[in-house]
Amino acid sequence: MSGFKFVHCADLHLGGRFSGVSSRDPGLGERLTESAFASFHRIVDLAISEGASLMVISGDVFDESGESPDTRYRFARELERLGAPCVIALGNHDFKRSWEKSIPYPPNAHVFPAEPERIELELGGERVEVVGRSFSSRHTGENLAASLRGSGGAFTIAVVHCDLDSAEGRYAPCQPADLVGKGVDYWALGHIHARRLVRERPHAAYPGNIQGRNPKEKGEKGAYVVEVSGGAVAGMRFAPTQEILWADARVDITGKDMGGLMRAIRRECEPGSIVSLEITGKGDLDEALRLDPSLADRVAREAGCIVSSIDLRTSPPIDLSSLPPNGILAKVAEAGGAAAAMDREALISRICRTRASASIRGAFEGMSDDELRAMARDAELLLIDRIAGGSA
Amino acid sequence: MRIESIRVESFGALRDREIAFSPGLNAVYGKNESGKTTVMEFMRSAASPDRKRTRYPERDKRDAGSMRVVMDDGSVAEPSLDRPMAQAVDPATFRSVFAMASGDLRDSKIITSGDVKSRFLTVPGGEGVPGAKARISQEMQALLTESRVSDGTEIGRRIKRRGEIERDLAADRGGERYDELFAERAEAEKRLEEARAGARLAGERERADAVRRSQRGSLERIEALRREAEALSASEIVGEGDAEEYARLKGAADGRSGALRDLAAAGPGPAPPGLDAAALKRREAFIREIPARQRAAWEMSRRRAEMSAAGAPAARGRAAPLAWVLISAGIAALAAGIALQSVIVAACGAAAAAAGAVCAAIGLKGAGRSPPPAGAAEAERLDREISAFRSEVEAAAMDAGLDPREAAADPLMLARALDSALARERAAEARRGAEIAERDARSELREFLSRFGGEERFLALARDRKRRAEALSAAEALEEAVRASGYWDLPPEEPGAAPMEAGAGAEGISRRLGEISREMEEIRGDRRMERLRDEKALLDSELAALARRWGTLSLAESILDEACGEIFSGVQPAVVARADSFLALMTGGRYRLDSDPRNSDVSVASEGGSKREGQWSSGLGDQIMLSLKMAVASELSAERMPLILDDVLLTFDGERKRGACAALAEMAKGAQVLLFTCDTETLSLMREAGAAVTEL
Repeated sequence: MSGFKFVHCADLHLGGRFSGVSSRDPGLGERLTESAFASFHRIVDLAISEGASLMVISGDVFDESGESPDTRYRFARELERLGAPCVIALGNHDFKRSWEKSIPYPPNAHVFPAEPERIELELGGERVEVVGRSFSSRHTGENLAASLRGSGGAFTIAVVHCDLDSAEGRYAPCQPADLVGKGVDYWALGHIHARRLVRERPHAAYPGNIQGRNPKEKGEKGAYVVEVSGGAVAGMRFAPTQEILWADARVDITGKDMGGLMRAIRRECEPGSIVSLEITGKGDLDEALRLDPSLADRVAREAGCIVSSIDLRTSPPIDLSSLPPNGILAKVAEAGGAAAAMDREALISRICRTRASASIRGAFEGMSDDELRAMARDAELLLIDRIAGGSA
Repeated sequence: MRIESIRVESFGALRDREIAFSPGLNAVYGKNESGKTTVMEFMRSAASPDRKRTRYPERDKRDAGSMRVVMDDGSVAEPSLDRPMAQAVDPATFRSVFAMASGDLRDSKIITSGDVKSRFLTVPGGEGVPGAKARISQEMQALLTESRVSDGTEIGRRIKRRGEIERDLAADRGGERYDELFAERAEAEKRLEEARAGARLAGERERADAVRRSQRGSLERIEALRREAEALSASEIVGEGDAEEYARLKGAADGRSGALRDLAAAGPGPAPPGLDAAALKRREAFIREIPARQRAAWEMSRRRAEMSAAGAPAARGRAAPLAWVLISAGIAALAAGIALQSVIVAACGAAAAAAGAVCAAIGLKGAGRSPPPAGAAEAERLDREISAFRSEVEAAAMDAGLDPREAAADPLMLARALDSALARERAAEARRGAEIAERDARSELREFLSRFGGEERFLALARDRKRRAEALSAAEALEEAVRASGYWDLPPEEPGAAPMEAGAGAEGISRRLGEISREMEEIRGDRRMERLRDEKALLDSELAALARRWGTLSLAESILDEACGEIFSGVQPAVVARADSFLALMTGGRYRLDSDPRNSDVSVASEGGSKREGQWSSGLGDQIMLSLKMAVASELSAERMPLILDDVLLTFDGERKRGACAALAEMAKGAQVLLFTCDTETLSLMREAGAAVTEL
């Protein structure tokens, strides 16, 4: 029976930078930047070792902030190394560079235009049709997926960068219904960084990005290897290729001293990974942790991993529910609760009271409601620790 | 506790003084230098142990004196300079709160920090507030100053650095430069290709020119040959086999002519003049008998001779033999002459010579001998016979037009003449045949040549034809050689770039291409921007974390403000309330204490707003501190301590002095108050307020 394999990846964000890691290690930035290249290198290795006849890249090859000639050149060299045909639909981060023609892709690469295009290939004795469409600007409210359809009679792959399950928006919003009954056997989607097999028959999948870049992009990252046989998807396998793993860890301070806490963190964190640490529990350490601005560095040093963020959900050893009613701590707890309940704009304005703070207002506007609420709680606990600690 | 009296034995300038005080409000009046301050210091020293050596007056070993003190429980104590009272409060607090000179009044530390504040001036937990607030504020300031982004702060520094990086990144024209180089490279490659093509073309042209130069002679020669051939084209009338045909015909004709000439040459010589060949032929039969008859004549002559020898007439005999010798010699000479002329008749000649020799012999014999005289008849007959033969010979010779004497001397001459005549006749016949054959051949040749206008013309044409063929063949061979040199495929001759120039241009372009490639590689390999982006990402992350930290602090500050605001409006500590009432009395209600727990410094509120320490006039400051200390003093110890004040109202204006005295009177309701003053206005106001007055 005729058949072939193809590799589907998306959201390479080559040249893109990480966020959410403060580190004293000056080489970390470079290592993180290189990690996406390393992951794509492995994907090309994967395609070669799997004998894939086609690679499909569903957009965001580059990251607009970091596309330099070298970035494009390195990508082109990887495509050259791949050798097999590679089809690319551009995403919202792949916007045009004045100089991009000066670094052309090898002839085995095909970039879809802004209008729907259909190309036909013969792969493993099977007639294959690839339809695709690229973003032509950073934003589009147009439903790009809806404009793609197969002609029938051949195994059809649709390649598009889009925001599924989004009714409106700036990133080619589309609905699951747009993917059905279009004569497409495999929707190779890109844009959403979390891996997700959307549906089967027809198949639709987001492979996720190829390398985590912030504390929210946790876990293994890589590409799908899709096996096609007799004109249908016969199997799909996810292959992790990430260079650096972003992970979560949770430790409890209750009943621990600093040494005990560090031992617990060491147990939870895989050395070399980037860890987003959540610390819970109640105890004396709450104050020490909350008031120590270099906690992350200390943890990183002790645990041998990189700490992207520490979410302190600890409480001080005092009983917050039985504070003297006329005392300041009760008032602080009350005011803290009120702050956490404020709507975000009011809260942000409350945070940014000084003139100079306008320069960092964006940092708060970029936070989610939950993050802002967590900040209000941190402020409250910080105060309690500071006031109670100051009196002790 | 109240001080009932003091007894100074020796202290400073004072000696042996006793002063008694009333339990309530006391005013102690003394002019300057009256020992007022010394009394005050004595009381302080006896009331609270203080080993400081800096007090005025300087302590002296002789210092002695005591106080009489009545405690709240009615018991009496008499502390002295040697054994001061043990107080519940430390000496500094005592001096700052209970026994104050004007300088001590302004010492605010004692009530704005530590124990006093946390116990009396704030709400539960409030003592931690100013510290917390200060720490928060300090931490915030370290992160980001209030009014402007200073690069002396953690956030400001990073914002500044990020700005620098952004400018550097924005100024980076690496991509554009790369694009320019790419375009230039494409252009240069094109130009290089052109230059190389130009150089190639020029090289080809040069080679072509060389070929052309070397072939020009050949071409001219070809042209000349062709022209020559063209000029000889009339010779084409001469056909392929014509030359052979001519040769054959010519050969035949010449052959015939040759044969004819041979015949002519080989034929007998011309007939002697007068020879009648026909006459000779008529006598042929006779002539053929001559040899035999001559032999017979010889026989007869011999016989005759023999007869002569025997006596026969000699005269005649003598003459005759002489004649025969001559004939014989003539025949011999003739025979020899003929032999030289022709081989054909050699045999005849030889025979004739032989005959001549024989004749000579005969003649010599005949002459030498005389006929025998016997047999004259015979001799006669013989003579006749011989004579008849001679006559016949002579007749035949005469007839044939030959010399009869010669013939008589050599009868064979006739035979030879006959043979010659016959031979001439045969030769003439043969010549006639040859002449006919020659005429025919010539005629055929002429007929052939008549097509070409005669032999001479034919020969010329044939020569031309040959020359034309040779010219064409030479032209063809040359053309073949030129063709082999590629001449006809050479590029057209046209003026172009000099090959050296074009080559030098290509070299320059190659060099530039190398430079371009190197620069493109450099741009690709330039990690500077990459590292700046990395640094920016790190800065962004740090800024996000620092901003969050700052935001948390800012929010904490705000939450604290809110909590404290509520406390300020709703909850006020008792001491603060009492001090507030004292201050209201002193300021006529214009100022109220601001008891916000955030204030590490004491603040007052008025219609004009809140005023912190440092913003007060010295009078207001003294009033505030006095109020606070009066309030604190009444709460500080379980024992009600006397309040001893040394001219603390000097900075007060009249109205405030009055208020202060009212406040002191109020205070005196619960504790003994002793106000030392040198100010008569104060003294009278104290008096008005009901103070017991002591003058020093």
